[in-house]
Amino acid sequence: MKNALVPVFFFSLFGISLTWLELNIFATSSSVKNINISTDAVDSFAASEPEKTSFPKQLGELSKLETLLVDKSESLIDIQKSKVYKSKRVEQKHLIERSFLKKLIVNDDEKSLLVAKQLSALSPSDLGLVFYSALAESRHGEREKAIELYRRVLLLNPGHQSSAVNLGLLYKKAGQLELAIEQLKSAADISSGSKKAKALASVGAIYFKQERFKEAIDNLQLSIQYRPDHARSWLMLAESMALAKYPYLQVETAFIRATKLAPSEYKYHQKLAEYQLNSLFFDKALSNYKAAIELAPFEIKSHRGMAWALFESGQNEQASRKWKWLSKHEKSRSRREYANIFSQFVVANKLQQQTLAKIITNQPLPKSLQSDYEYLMLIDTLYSSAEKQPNWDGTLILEFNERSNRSLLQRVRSALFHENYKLAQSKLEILLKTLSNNAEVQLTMAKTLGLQGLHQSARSYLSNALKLEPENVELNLLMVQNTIDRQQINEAVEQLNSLMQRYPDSFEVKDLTAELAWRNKDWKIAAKLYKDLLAADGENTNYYYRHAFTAYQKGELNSAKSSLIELLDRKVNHLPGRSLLAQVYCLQGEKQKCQFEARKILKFDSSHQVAQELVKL
Amino acid sequence: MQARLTFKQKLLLFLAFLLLCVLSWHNSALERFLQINPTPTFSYQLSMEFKPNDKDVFVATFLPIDNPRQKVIEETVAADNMALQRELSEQGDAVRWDGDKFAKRIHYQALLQNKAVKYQIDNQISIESIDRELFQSTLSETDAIAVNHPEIREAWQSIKPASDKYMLPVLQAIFDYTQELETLPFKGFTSSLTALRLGAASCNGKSRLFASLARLNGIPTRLVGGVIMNAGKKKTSHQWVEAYVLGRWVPFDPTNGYFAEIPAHYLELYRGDLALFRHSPNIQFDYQFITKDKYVSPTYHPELIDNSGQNFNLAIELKSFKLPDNVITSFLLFPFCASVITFMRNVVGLQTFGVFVPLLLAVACTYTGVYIGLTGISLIVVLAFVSLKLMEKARVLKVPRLSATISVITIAMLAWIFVSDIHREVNLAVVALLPVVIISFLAEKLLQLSSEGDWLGVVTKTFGTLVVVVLCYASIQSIYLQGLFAVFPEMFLIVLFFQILIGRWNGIRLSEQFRFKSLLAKGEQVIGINERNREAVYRLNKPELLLLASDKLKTKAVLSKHKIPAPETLASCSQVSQVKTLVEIFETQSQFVIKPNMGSQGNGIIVISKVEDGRFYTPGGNGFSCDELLAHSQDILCGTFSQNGDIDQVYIEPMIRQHDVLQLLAPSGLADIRVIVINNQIAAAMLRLPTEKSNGKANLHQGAIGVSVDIETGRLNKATQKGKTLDWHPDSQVAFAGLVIPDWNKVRKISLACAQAIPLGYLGVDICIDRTQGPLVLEVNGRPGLEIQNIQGKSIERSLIYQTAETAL
Repeated sequence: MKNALVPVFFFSLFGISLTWLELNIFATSSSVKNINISTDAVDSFAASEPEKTSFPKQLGELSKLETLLVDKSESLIDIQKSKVYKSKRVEQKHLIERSFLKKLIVNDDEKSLLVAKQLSALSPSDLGLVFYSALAESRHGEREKAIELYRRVLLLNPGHQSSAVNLGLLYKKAGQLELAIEQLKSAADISSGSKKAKALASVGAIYFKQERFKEAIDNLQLSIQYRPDHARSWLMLAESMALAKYPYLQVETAFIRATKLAPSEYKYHQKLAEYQLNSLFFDKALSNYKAAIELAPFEIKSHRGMAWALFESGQNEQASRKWKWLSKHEKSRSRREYANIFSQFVVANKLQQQTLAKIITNQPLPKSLQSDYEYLMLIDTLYSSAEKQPNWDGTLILEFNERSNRSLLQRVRSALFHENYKLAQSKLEILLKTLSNNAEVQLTMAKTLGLQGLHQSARSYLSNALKLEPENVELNLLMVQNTIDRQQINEAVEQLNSLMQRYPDSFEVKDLTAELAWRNKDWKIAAKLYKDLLAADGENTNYYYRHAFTAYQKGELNSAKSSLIELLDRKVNHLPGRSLLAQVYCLQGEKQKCQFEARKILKFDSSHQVAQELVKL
Repeated sequence: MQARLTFKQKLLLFLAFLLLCVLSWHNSALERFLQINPTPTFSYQLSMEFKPNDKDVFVATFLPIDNPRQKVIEETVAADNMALQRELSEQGDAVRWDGDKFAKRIHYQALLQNKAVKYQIDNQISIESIDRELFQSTLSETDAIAVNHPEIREAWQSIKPASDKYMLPVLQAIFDYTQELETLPFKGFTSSLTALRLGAASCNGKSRLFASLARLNGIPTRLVGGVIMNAGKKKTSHQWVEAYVLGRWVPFDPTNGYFAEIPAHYLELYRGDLALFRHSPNIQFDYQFITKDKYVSPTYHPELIDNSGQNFNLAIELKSFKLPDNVITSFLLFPFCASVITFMRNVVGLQTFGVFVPLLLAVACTYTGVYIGLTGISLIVVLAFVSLKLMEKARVLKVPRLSATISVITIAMLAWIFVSDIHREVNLAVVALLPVVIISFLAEKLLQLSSEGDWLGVVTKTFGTLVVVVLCYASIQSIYLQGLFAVFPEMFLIVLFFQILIGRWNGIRLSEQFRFKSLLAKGEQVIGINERNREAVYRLNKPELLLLASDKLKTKAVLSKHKIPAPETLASCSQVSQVKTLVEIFETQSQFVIKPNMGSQGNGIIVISKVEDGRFYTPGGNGFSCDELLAHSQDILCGTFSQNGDIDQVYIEPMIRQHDVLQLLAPSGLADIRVIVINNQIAAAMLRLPTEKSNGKANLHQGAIGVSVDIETGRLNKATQKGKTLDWHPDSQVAFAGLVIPDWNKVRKISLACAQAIPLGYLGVDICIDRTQGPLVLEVNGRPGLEIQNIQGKSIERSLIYQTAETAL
């Protein structure tokens, strides 16, 4: 009796084979054609180029003669009288007329409105003319008329991009912001390319003005996609991001792109510098203020910003000079006076109370100076040496929105100055929430923790700072110091060896390495390093002593002796050095000299035990 | 008597024929075989839409061109109300459509064969001094590509390699620099200076910056624009750059990291710093690329085959009649698909809705894709089912019901096409091709099955239909099969051979392996449907007698002539206009049965057991009004219950009051005895007892109990309900053991008499036992089912079927 198993088996086999083949289709041709290009290779794969031909002339374009006619003509009549015009068909004539009108509008010619009206009278249904009429009306300040005309265009042609965009802009100018947003958004929907970008950027600008930063950012980002070389859009985007508290790097990138696209515009550098200043990146702020000043030397705001940046970065002398300059160049008298006060303050770091009282009673503080003045008051109060615990809740101490990072930093510095490390730490924690990518802040936190003996915690902040500035030698050294503080000496040695390789000429690296070698009693390395250090700094008495000591330990008595003599030339009362010299003399058999030195020691310190024993020899 | 060829001899003949075919083609057989191998190609579609706003409009773009690495195999353009101008230049194949205000869209489609190319640049090639005048356009500065700008120079100074006189290191340095720029999704124009200043750009900015730096070094460079053909829809084109190296334009793509190479899926459209699209202003122009890689059979595209004209190719011959490719593949693969269907039905045993309906559905799926197609079919079936159900409730007659359903489906499909985006991808000719009518028919069958409560039937047929649709679809879409049937027409003969082979195969179907597994396990020589049909029905039963047996009224007439007892016919009606004549019976009789003449399995039968207050009640308690009975009669006349769907007759018989023994056993309906008579011998018998589960019908598939009967004594043996053995009736709780069929001898006599009256060699006689009239023949069946083998626990005696005239009784 036959059953279906065998046929089904063969059918299945066939089906599976076919399926397998289908799934693993082999191409008939090889997957990649490789071609060698060398000076002697011959290959026939070069593309053959067809003959060059020209495109047919596009409808809607003017010929060269027509363009010349439009450029040279002063009036519509000139055009209409010309032979070139008369020889054309009606559609081309209209095109010439329209191009002439466009030229007048672009050049802000007074005649544009009249010409627009003349042409509209002849062809009232010509949408192009209606559009140009609207444009002319708008340029002449006839906003309502322009709006009406744009609406008419859109009624007849809802896809007219320029009308849609311009109408939105008119609403914006008229202060009808919600209507403007709606109109510009629909303009963006129907537009493409730069028109779309313009519409979106305008929407972004409105949102920015309304402090709806998230919406502003969305629209500006989209606008930039369509017009990536528009510096103004990048700038507004950066400003919106800054106000929306976006991460520093993102905001900075946007600012930098704006400056790169407008390299000759000082304002872009100025705004970037301002942002960097408020984000505590003082060095970067300084370089951008400098660039702004180079582009516009008499732009006062840049100088003011620079003065603050100098002050914040600890360059008080330069800050004082800058304010001194401002005290001569500020436009208003009150500003000049205050600049003068600042220039004194930053050097003395203390306001003269009497001067201050006089200023307050004699003249009201201009509003524009309010925040500067109050910031100054804050600093003064924070650093007051009159009391250890400054009056944090004093009436003059305010939180400044635009300076909150800086005022926080001042509080940190002041707290450190007053050795209130816990307070400094708490303020730093607030700063780090928004400025975690600021190496300086990370470093300050590490130092603060280090001062409290919290070396392990300090390490993580140092690591963060190093990630941000891996080539910063100082940071690297601080990391090593932290390792030493944590008693991880071997690890510290390895780190220093690595730093020595990376920075073989760094004085600071050598100094710390020598210090560690000294501690580890590695005399050979210490001797060599101190010799190098002495070559760089020949006045350092500590180096002389340590060099002498290490030489002594190595048995190089003459070398030790010469270093000690140099040391004692510089510092007569260096008792350890003199004591060591006496011992050297004794070892060299010069007993008289040995006792001579010992007696000298006893003159400085009669209880010096080593000297006493040497004298008895 | 002429000796017939044995099967083996036939097989040998066929193989000889095949060998002859192969020998006659042997020279080209291998060549043709190689042509079957699929070729990788790309399908590229560009759709553009716009709104002219009552003005003339123009749209210009670039279309794919042929070059050594890129070949356009075929292309079509559809742009109503637009005139096309096409111009080939060094920039590319520039096209421009000019249209009137009625123009709305342009659709371009092409099949492309692209190659990947990789260049190995010798590192000793120096930057040659070239004729600057000849290469002016590819060396000079433009608004977008700054060359001598201080910032460009400064950038070059910061990246230039030590060996800046050689081509390879210079190009590598430029490539690395531009590649490392941040990639931002800029859609707008980006000059090289902007890219440099931003430190970021999209493909066009990076390419321009590459060109700036290369031109600064005296290397002619040009921009190339095109599309990256990875599967899917997109709106972005791409730009890369080519540098002139020793007479070759070598491609570089700093955006995607291809140095001196270009992959196959890069489609070049134009050369130069150009815009891909230009169009009339303010027309809300929108466009979309749809690309995908696909393998095609080279047999359908002569451009892909070398020496394509030398070998016979059915596909190409049919193409000369301007038939689309998918029509040709469907046509060529119809026989194969028919074989698949035949195999699935006759060998595997899958049931489907309609025999070749799945093939038509599979063809429709080739237009829509299998997922959309099957989803669409399913939705249409559901919609049709709902529509039919609602109309059935409203008592709309069958044919108008079907036509109304077609209208409903058509409206729904039109709405779906216009609402969704699907019309872009689906050839609307499918709507005409798509067998909406067939689907409505499917839905009607579905409705019938569900009305009968045969949910298992619904599920199995649906599953079977889906499987066959998928197999047929896969066969039509198989690139290997497409090629095979195109270049080897002798395959049709092979397919024909297999179809005949299947047709002559008597074996047990795969589904029957499960159905009769207990019998097969015992070693019984079970008779399957194939063997029954071939050896019993087709060999022993004449077609005209089969027809007679299916007509109950005619059968009754013949039986009456031979004095074989059957239920009386109270009335019959063959036309809808006469149906009201049945009212007389309704009014005068209190117990009667309405039956379709050509019905089967008890479908369409209504048994009325009492009349109360003008309403007619079935034994199960369902009540009908007179009008409802008339409506049902009309349905019968329309063919709702007939076996082949043809117009039918309705007749009324008096209700049979069955024998007390049987009534006791099965109180919920009329029990009957199925006696199988083969070559005038009783082969098997079973008693079919209705249950509440079977809704009072003696239908084994619907839950009736089958009880095996001893053909000699009439004693009841094993009882089974859906494969489960029972000792007593679940409704009456009466045990089967020991019971004997009343008047068994008479039953036997009547069965044999039927075989004489209607001389079918293989027939099933259904007999009921009236309490007063005794055994009555209900119907004679020319194709009795095989479930009786499971009921009696043994196969039908095979020797009865195969006995010759001499050995027959």
